Amino acid sequence: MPDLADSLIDQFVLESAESLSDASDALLELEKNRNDPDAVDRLFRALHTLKGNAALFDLQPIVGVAHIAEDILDTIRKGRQEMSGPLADVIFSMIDQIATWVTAIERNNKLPADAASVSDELQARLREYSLHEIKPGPSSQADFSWADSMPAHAWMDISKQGQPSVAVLYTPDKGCFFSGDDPLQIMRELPGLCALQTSFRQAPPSLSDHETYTCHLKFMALSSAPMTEVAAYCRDYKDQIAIRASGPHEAEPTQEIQDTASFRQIITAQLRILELPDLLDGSKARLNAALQNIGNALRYMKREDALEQFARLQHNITELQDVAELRRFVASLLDPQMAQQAAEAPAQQPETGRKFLQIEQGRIDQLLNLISEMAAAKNNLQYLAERAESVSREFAVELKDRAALVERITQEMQDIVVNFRMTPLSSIFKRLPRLVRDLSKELNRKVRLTIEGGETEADRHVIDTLSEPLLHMLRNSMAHGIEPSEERAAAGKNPTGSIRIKAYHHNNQLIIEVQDDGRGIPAQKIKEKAAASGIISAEEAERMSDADALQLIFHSGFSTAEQVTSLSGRGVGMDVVKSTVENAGGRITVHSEVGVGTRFTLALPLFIAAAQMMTVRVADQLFGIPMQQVQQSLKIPRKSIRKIKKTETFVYRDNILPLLRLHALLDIPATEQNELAVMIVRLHHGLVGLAVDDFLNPVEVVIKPLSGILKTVSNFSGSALLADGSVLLVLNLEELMRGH
Amino acid sequence: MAIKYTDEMAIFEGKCTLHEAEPLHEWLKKTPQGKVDLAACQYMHTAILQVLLIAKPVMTASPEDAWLSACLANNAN
Amino acid sequence: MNKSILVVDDSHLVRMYYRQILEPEGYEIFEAANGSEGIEKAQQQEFGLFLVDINMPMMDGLTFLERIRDISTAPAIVISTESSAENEQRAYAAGASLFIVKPVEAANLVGNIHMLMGA
Repeated sequence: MPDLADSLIDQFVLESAESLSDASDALLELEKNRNDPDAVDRLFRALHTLKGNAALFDLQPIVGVAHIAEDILDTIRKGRQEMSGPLADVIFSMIDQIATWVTAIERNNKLPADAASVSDELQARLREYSLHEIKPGPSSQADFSWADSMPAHAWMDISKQGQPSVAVLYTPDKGCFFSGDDPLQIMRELPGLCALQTSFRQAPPSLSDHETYTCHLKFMALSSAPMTEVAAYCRDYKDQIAIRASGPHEAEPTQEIQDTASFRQIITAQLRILELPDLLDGSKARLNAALQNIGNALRYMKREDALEQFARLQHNITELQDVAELRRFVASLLDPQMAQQAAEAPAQQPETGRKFLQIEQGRIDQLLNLISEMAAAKNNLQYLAERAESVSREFAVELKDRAALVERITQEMQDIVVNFRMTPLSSIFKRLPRLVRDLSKELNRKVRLTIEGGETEADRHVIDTLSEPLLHMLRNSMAHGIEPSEERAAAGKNPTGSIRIKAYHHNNQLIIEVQDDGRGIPAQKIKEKAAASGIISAEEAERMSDADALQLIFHSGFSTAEQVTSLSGRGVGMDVVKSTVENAGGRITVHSEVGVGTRFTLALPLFIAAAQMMTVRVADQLFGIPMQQVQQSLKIPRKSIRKIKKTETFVYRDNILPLLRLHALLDIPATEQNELAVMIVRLHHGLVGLAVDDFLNPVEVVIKPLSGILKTVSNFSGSALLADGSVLLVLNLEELMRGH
Repeated sequence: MAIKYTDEMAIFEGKCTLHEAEPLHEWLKKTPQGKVDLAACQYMHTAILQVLLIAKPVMTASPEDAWLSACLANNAN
Repeated sequence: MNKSILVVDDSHLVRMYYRQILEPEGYEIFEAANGSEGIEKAQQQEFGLFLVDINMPMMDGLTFLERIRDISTAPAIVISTESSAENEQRAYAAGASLFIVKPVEAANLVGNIHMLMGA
C-alpha cells in the first residue's frame, strides 16, 4: 500500500466500515423482499463506494470482488435479473471477507498475504451470477519469479542485464487476435525493452488440434524504462498485463524523467483531443482548452523553439486543414528524434519563409503506394463489421468503431501525403513549345504559343493525367483550328496564329484553358456529322442549340482525326480526353465562335481523390468499372438473351438493351454459364449490359495512369492496387465498346 | 503472398501478417516434414510465431532478427 | 496564476485523498460531491483545474465535463477506475484534458498538474 497519511487510512477504515454496514442492512432487507428497489439501490451504492475507495489505495483484492458484485447489482437494478438466496449468500461472504481485510489494514496497514488468492476464489463464485463477461484481471498473485532468471536468449541487449527496473507479464486473451492485437508486436515496442521471453500458458495443443487464431502464448519482459512510462504504455491492456517493479533497487525517478513522462502523457492526450470529430463545432471550447494545455506544457519544458512554431499555428484555426496542421505539429513533439534535432539546432536561425526538406522522390512514391494499399485494404473493414453483426453485436460494435477510426486516419494520411506530390505544371508545359514548333513545320502553320501559370501546382498524378489530353488538344488546335497564314490574312487576322495556355487555381480547383484564335468549331457541321454517324437523330439535330452541339465533339464515335499526321499518331479522340479528365475527377467544357476561335476549359481537382470502383471478374482477371458509370448489377438466365440481327440483347425494365460480353471484348477465353452476371452501365448513348463472370466487392482506390507499353492500350483508363497486392485494370468502357 | 510454398519448403518473405497464419498452419499439417526458410522474414505476427512454436519445423535459414532467431531456436528444443 | 482546484467525486475519502496530496504542493482545494454541485461551484468562482473522478458505471463525471466546457477552459483531469479505450474516447469527447486510470501514482499526478496549470 502506498505510504499515506494515517488520517487517510483511518478515514478509509471508517468509511469502509460504514459501507459494509449499509451493504449488510440492505442485503438483509433484500433477502426478505426480493423486489425492493430502494434496498437494491442502497446495496449498489454501498458496493460502488467500497470499490472506489479501495481503488484509491490499489487494494486489488477488494476492488476485484466489489467490481463484480457492483456489476451484478447493476443488472438487478436494471431489472435484468433478480436477487436470489444463493446470490445473497455469496455477497454476504464477500462482505464478511472485506470486513476482515479492512480490520487487517487498520491493524497492520496492509492486506494479509493470501488476500489475492482468497479474492480470486470469491470472484469466481461471484462470476457465476454475472451477466456480463467480466474478465478476470491478471491475478495479483502473478508469478514474477522468472524475472530474476531470464534465459540468455531472451535478452535483446546483454549490456542491460543489470539495469531493468520493471517486469511485465502479458497474458493476452485467447481471442486477442480478433481484437486486432498482435501481442508480439506490442511487446516488441515496450518502452525500454531489454529482455523478452515467450512461452505457452499451459501445455500447447498438438498441431492438428490447434486453432490458428487462438492465442495460447504469454510474454514476460524486462524493461529499463521508468514504471510510469511502462504503466502508461500498458494501460490499454490493463486487464491482461501485470507489472511489477523489479531489479535490485527501486530507483526514484529523477525529476527530469518524471517531467518527460508527464509531458508525453499530456501531449498524447491533447493529440487525441485534436483527433475528435466536430472539434470546430460550436464554441470550440475543447479546442481552446487543448491549446492552453499544449502551451503550458511547452512553457514548462522550456521548449522555446516549439513555442515559436506553436504561437503561429494556434491562431485562426477555422478549417479542418488548420487542425490537421496543428496535429502534425503536436505529433512531432512526441517524436524524440525531432525533439533531439530541435534541441541541437543552432541558437540563431534566420527567419525564412518556408522551410524545405529534400526528400528523394522514390521515397514519397513508396509512401504513397503504401497509403493507397492501405486505402484499399481498409475497404473490407466496414463490410466485415456488417457481417460481424450476425456473429456478435458487441464485437461488431467494436469492429465498426475501429473501422471508422482507420477510415478517418487513412483519409487523413491521404490528405496529408497528397500534398507532397504537388508539382508545378511547368513540368508538362515545357514540352509544348517544341511540339508546337514541330507541328508548325509539318502542317505549315505559323503559331505563337503563350503559356501562363506554369508555376501553378497540382498533384503529380493529376498532372500526369493531363499530359496526354493537353498534347492532343494542342494538336487538334494546330491541325484543325488554326488556319494557314494566307487564309488568316485574308480574314483580316494576324497571319501568325496564337494559342494560349493558361493555368490557375480557382475555388480549390486547377483550371487550365487552352485557347486558340483559329477557325472555331462550326456547330452546324458538327450536327450534320453527328446525325450522319447516327449519334443523334435528324430531329434532335434540328432542335439542338449550338452550345449543345459543341459538346458532341466529346462523343465517342465522333472522330475528328481526319488528318492523321505523323505526329498526331492514332488520333486519340476528344472522347478519350474527356474520359481521362473525368476519371481524374475533373470536367472539360468547350466554347467556340466561328471565325474567332475555340477555348477548352479543364477544371480538375487539386488532389486526386480516391475513386469508387465496382470490381468484376472475367476468368481470373479483375477489372474495375467506375461507380458513376454503373446503373445496376443483376443476373439474367441464359435463355432470356435474344439476338437481334447480330447483336445480343436482353430486356431491362421494359427496354431492350444490347448485351456485350466482356471476355469477348477483351479477347479472354470464357466459360459458358447458365446464368449471366450482367452489369448495366451508362454510356454516352445509353445503357448497355456488360456480361462478366462475377461481381466482387466495390472498392475505393487511387487510379494511376498506365505507363509504358500499356499506355497505348486505350481499353483501360488506368490501374489501381488492391489490398492483396493484385492489380486492378480500370476499364475505359466507351473505348472498349466502340464499334459494337 | 508473403510465404511461398514449394513441395518441401515454406519460404518467408518480408512482412508476414495474420493472414499468412492459417495457410501456414494448413501447410504444416499437410507437410509434416516441411522446412521453413526465414532468411527474408522481416516481421511475423504472433499467430505465425505460435504456429511455428507448436509445429517446430526444421529451419533451413533463420531470420535476420537475432532475437526472433534465438526465440525460435530455443523453443524448438 | 489561478491555483485553485475543484475536486469532483462522490466519495469523501477520495476527496480527502486528493486534498492530502495536493495541498502540500501549494494548491487550494475545493470539493464537490457530485456533478451538479460541481457546476454550481464553477459558476460562482474560477478554477485553475478540475479533478473529476469517474467511478464507473456512474456517469456523473462525464455530464459534469460536458457542462463545464460551457463555463471554463481550465484543464480537466479525469481519473477513472476503468481503462477501456472507449471510455477514454468518451472522456475526451466530453471535454477532458487528460485521462488517468486508477490507481493514481501521486508523484505522476502532481507532475501532470504542475505542467497543466503552468507552474
